[in-house]
Amino acid sequence: MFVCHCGENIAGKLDVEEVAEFAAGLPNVEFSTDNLFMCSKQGVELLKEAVRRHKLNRTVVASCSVEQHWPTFARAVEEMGLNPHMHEQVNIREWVSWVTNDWDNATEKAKSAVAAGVKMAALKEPIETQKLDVVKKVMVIGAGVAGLRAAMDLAELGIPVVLVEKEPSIGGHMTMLNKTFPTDECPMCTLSPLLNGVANHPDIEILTLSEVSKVEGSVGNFVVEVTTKPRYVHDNCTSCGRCSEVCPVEFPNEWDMGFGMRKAIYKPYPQAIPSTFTRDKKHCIECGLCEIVCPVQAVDFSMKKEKREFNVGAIVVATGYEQYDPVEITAYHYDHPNIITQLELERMLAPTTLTKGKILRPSDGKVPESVVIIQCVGSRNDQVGNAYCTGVCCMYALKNAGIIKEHLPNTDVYICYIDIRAPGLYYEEYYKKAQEKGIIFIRGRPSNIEPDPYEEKLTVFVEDTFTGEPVEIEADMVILSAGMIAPKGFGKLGGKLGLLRAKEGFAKEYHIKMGPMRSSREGVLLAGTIQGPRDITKTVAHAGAAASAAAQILVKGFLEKRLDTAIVDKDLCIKCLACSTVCNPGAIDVDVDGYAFVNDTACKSCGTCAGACPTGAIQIRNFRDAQLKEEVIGLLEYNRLVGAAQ
Amino acid sequence: MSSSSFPNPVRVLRRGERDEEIIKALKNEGFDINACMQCGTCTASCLSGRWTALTVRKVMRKAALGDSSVLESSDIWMCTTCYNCYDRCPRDLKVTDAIIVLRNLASARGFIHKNHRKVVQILAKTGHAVPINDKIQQVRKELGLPKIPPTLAKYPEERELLAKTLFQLAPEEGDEQ
Amino acid sequence: MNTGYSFFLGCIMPNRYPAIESATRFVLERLGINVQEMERAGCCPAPGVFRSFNKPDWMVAAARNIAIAEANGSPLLTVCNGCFGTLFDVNHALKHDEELRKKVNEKLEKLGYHVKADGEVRHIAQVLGFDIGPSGIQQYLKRKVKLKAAIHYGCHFLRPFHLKQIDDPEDPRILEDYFEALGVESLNYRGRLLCCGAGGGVKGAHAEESMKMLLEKMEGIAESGAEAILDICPFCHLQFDGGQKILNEKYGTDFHIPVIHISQLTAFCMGENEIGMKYQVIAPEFRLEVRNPD
Repeated sequence: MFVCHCGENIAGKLDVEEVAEFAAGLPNVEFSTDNLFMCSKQGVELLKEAVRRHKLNRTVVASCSVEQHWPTFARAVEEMGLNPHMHEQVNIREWVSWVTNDWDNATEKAKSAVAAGVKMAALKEPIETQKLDVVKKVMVIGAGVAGLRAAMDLAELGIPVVLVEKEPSIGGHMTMLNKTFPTDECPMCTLSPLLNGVANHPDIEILTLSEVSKVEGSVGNFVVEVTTKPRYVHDNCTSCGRCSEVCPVEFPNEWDMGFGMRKAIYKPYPQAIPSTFTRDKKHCIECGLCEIVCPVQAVDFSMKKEKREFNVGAIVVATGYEQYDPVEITAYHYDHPNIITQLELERMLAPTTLTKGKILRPSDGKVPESVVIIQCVGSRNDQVGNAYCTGVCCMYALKNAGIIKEHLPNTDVYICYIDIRAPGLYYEEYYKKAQEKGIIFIRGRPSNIEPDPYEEKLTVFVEDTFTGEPVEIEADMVILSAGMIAPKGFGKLGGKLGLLRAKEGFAKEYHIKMGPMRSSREGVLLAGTIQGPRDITKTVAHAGAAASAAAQILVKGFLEKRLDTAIVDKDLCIKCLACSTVCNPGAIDVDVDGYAFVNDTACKSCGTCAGACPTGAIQIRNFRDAQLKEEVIGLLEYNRLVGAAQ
Repeated sequence: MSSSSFPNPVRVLRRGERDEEIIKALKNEGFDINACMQCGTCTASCLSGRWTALTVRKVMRKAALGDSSVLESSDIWMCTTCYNCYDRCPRDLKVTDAIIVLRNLASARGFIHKNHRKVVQILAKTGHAVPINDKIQQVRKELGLPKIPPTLAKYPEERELLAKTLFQLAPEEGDEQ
Repeated sequence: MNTGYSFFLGCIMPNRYPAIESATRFVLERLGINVQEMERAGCCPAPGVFRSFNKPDWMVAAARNIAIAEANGSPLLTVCNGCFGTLFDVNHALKHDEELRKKVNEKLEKLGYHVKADGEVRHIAQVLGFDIGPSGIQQYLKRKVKLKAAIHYGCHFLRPFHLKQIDDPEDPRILEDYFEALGVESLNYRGRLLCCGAGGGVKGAHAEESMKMLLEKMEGIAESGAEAILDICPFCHLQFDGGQKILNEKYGTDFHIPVIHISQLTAFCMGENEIGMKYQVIAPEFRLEVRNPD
């Protein structure tokens, strides 16, 4: 028995020495002590030495969670020749010391937990591990910069990748941007080597217009069904564009946020990959001109939706973010044509759009003399349910304010902000540079934007909190720095993948510090903004980490699975198969004689079957009724003992 | 502290000198004053603040620091309770309610404008904040309405009971101007 | 359709603008809505002034009025944003907070009343603009007006939004839609949604500041070329009507824009000729022009 202080984490809240002394008196306990840090090298050596000297056949450490340090001590007892499952972990930190300030009661509670753990330890059975083959292939969902980076990193490790993208082309939001901070580089220039690399990589299969429709299996061996919408243009398309020229249907291009036009048969932008055109069935009037004019007969209206199944060992989710829709904040009147978002401005600045890259007032094409940028639109806002700071908007606002100033040196550019958040190398420097460009910074969050009743102008109402005065700014254009939110369809996909989501809608990471690229489900990794808002630099790093974590599972070629799985006692089994009905992963089959039979590979040790079984025939190893009963008895006996004494 | 006869122009923050009653009163109304991030949405929303010395953000700041001068100044009485700030606060703070809390506290300490005292007296006497007069009685008659509406105006005993039970104002502590 | 309303008079309507009262009674009668008097009702009491002195007492006094309507067995109807602000908000608070209801009743019972807060408090603008609605009102109209007007919402009709939930306070349409159905051409003007500057006890104690706020509001209205101001609140009405005179006398302005309450305009369109414009301070000579059928 080893009681850990965990520095002050445990010892600061309860009497560890008293707990250790108490344990020494329990039946079956040969040796009991306390230690400052059981997980340290000295602590582990102490445990191994005690096993050797006292010929221990079971160990109990009262410290932190099973998740955290069971493996540490299990490895130690294994080195001493015992089965690792002969080690029992009692959690007196998360369950006791971290949740109380009551010294006496905490000490008592720790003692009862230790009493239960000792009872349990006596009954623990050895568990073997099994090597499972893994499929050396990864599916990456989402082909924005995160998905591209993860796909490339995996493919370069020799792991084949299936890259699934729901849009007609790959590249994501980054391809929509005009410049990137803090270097003001052209994003297409920096991204296109990766885009082309992925597009031409022999180990990467790209599926555009595709979405995941079903997920089965588990880590190492997932079966994923992907549904692909028809493009109505075959891959022999030479991208000559004649179909688009003759198409009579024209309307705003989504990719240009309405600042450019496209036809019903189109390519979202000139450098789009794949370069094959797409027919948008919803808007097509089926005049057939495109079919006639295509020199290679690539246009084919008869193409159908396709479903394909893929066997992969791991999944990387890189479905990105969506821009917050400011229409919800009605005081900002986002429906006004001269109030646009930053992403819309990025498109306006592109040479291929309606303004040919010029900054013009959308309602009438006038060169704006005054532009107001408003920060924290849909971020840091409890009213709309987004308490978080997106953390990117300050930087892109500084960037775009600077770009407006470069385009239109005589235009007044204001940034209304609550706090400028520019942490880290080169970011504060970037802020300073923006200040030097003559941008007018107003520390205050505008309350409302009022469209002028008679002209195209807007009035922004804000307090300059530094002077403490209410201010009105007359503006030709207002640009809203809308925050990042989780993409709308993610609930569905998250459900199929079995992922936990945070209340803000993003995928919940396994641990915010130690596993930000891992999801709540083993074998499913997170890359980029689907885990939370971040900029491109951090997205690329995160995606690399996700790729590496996915590869970790697959490079060895096998997984070691602990068989603390369900097991059937045929003497008790009445062949009712209630267990099979409730088994979520579908791990329970029927053997030739009609008895329930557990497939260890698929079993997740969840214990639902044990609950459903009317006779107690199906049990989880080391969580058997008899073992749990003993553990509970340990707990209750202690409490009765104390109760009687008082 | 200072030996000069000029008051110290710098506000010194010392333990025990905060007016805890302000902080407590706001807390009791469910108003978490410390959640204010001083963004100024309230001030920018405020019609009154464009014409008067009321700066709602500063009122919230002073209240958070337990600065009792906020109760003595007439600023809090410049609010027209239009609720623009209340509806727009990004931290979802019920700003107008907080101003009412501060006014209640100021009133309890006797900081009530003499005109406001008069309104309470009129209410006690007539049952209405704006009472009927002879001219209006005549107009009412011309319009085919009863000269006196069937309100408290017609029930003197009940008016008295009300006046005895409600709105007993604290004695004058210096008229807020 | 509901069987009737308990008609809450408040202070300013019966005691300053009785024509709004007679017009409201006319409209309700034409609509076939039964009017129950609220015998012994008093001041709402005003949300700006009385709530500021003592919020618990303000609640008790409001609850007393609500209890009178409850005894009548019909929902309470008000024609004033201030009364609506007090009575709606207190009713809502009492409805959703049992503890508070108990506390208020303890004091209220000393006055001989008991409040259940299980009924409704409604504003005439809701009844006309929403229940009857722009198309529903047509069958009751005898004529429409030819009038370019600046519509003023006031504050407590739409805010706090999470309580009222009548229309978006940042860009409401309910009154425009209704008044346009009476023939009005509604004008967009600077400061359309600004406060009139009277509320919160400001008019009573800080008249000059209140007039400054009104001035900003009036400048926006005058700039629009409005022939009249349409409102839904006797206190805003008082501020616009009497306030223009004060502004003209003290600040050298020359405003002369008549003020018409929703009940007055509706009564006129339903055939009532006497809507009391002659008793008002500003533009007593003003007469509404009838729109010729197109």
